[in-house]
Amino acid sequence: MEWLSEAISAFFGFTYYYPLFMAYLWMSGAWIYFLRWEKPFGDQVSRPPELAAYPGVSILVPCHNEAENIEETVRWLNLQRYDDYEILVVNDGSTDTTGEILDRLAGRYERVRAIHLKSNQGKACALTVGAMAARNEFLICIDGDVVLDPWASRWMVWHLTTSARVGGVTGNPRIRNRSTLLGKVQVGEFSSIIGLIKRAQRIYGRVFTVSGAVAAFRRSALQEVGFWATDMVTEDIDISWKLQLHFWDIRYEPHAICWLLMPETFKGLWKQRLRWAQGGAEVFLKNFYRIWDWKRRRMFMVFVEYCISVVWAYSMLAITLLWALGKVVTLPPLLQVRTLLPGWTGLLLGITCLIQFAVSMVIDARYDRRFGKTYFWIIWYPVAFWLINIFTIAVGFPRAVMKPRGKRALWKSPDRGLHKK
Amino acid sequence: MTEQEHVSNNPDDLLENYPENLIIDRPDLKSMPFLLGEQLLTLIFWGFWFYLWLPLISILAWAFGFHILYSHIVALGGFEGFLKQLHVFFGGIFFASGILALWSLYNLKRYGAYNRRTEVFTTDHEALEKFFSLSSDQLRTMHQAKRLTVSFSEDGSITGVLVTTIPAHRDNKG
Repeated sequence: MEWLSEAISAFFGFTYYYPLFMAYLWMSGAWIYFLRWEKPFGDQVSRPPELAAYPGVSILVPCHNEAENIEETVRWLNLQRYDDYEILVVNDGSTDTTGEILDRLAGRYERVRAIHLKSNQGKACALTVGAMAARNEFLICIDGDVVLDPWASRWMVWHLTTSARVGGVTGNPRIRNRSTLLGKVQVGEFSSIIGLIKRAQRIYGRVFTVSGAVAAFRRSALQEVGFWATDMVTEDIDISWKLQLHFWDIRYEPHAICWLLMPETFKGLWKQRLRWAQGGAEVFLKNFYRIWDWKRRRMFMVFVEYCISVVWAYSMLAITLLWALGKVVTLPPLLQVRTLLPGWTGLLLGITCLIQFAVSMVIDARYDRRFGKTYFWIIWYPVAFWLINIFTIAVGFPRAVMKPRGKRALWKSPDRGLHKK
Repeated sequence: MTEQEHVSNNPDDLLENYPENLIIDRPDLKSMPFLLGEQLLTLIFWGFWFYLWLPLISILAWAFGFHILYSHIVALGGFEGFLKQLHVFFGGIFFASGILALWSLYNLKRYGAYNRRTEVFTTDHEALEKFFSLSSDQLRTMHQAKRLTVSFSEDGSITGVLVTTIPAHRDNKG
């Protein structure tokens, strides 16, 4: 029984050490990326590299019931520091006044074209129709509530023009709404976790996903993989895996900034994160058999990272249940969990989190000078992030398993913060 | 956002004080109890965060003669326990970072200069027409139209693409 004792001990060790090691993995990867790819360009978002040519770009904006935001989004899109571009706004069966606003904007701005889908078909379908109607090979896809930095197109097109193997480029989303604690915590999250993970994954060679809020694509690459899948709840994760499994590179460009609105209620945040978790699981299940090919080995790191994160979520849940069960019944000594407080590991976790915040400050503050102000609030993030991760994976994974294949994923307008109430 | 900002179409107005003008930080939208509650809770949570550091604090306290949090020393193996954990901790970090470094080096060596896609691909319009079941004329029309209406069948296939004119609107001259 000694092996069982050791196995259980390793299991408990894994649950405490996993977040710790991942933090260092992300930090070291992000640091390598920063020194190799980011630092040489300095901190000037408004100084992208000069391109040999400036090919035409089509900016696609799929939207559904975005009457409150779409006008601002389009006004900012007209300020892109790029000569040859068009803006295609795809109204996906909105039931509010989005359609009328789009027609007005198309009349007002020469670059703007309006596409109305008669019924709600989902974001993936709206993007695909946009890609079909686009005049240009390079597509930049943004959400209908996003403000794109005036220089973002140039940063993203730079990748697409300098390497023929780049199929997609993901940008750097920053959060606008910071009125509540949830808003402020997510500002920290996007820098200290998502930003570090994206950089680290570029060092792995493959990314888990492009940002759904801002990403650029080569249309011929999308065509090769059959465009966006209409039955996945997160079309961004799916398209990232499809492109990379077809040997297209996806780059991360931190200088390509966009400003977006995030949920500021627990309900809104839960729904959003659950969708992300379910979407990740759907893509994992869809590609489970395709990944076991030596030619696709560059995806292994991302695949393994995802598998471990799911195992960890269920392990943490099991430990918590064992601890709670131990309060009411007597468990075998091997399965007894005396406390959930991590002792010395807690000290290491505490120090690690502060180091992680510091690293993200050094790397990321150049893109958002107000970021430092959120440092006071970020202390919530490690616990909030890992707790949300546990519960959304625990609920989202079975949902993905049970979901009927081919069922179309439609969308609803999410919570956009306190100021929209 | 104020009404004045909402209606402004002047690019200079939008870019003035960018990106600070995009940030929405409106504590005035929160009630005073909500505002104070958030701050108080976060302060308490910082306290909890440092509670995680109890083993270190207890060591220091012990060094100064305070025998508080004795259990951390006994139950968790005291400083030796910490050193033992540090061993695993640094081992894990070096192992994980080492794997990452090796993997990224392998990637760089194997794929850095290796580019099978030397040819710059562009969209194959014939394939595009086939993919969407459209004729060349329809696709060309789609590329030129200022306003389109697309209808779908129950199963999500495109059943019609209609080029429509933009309804007259008094603001269109904007």
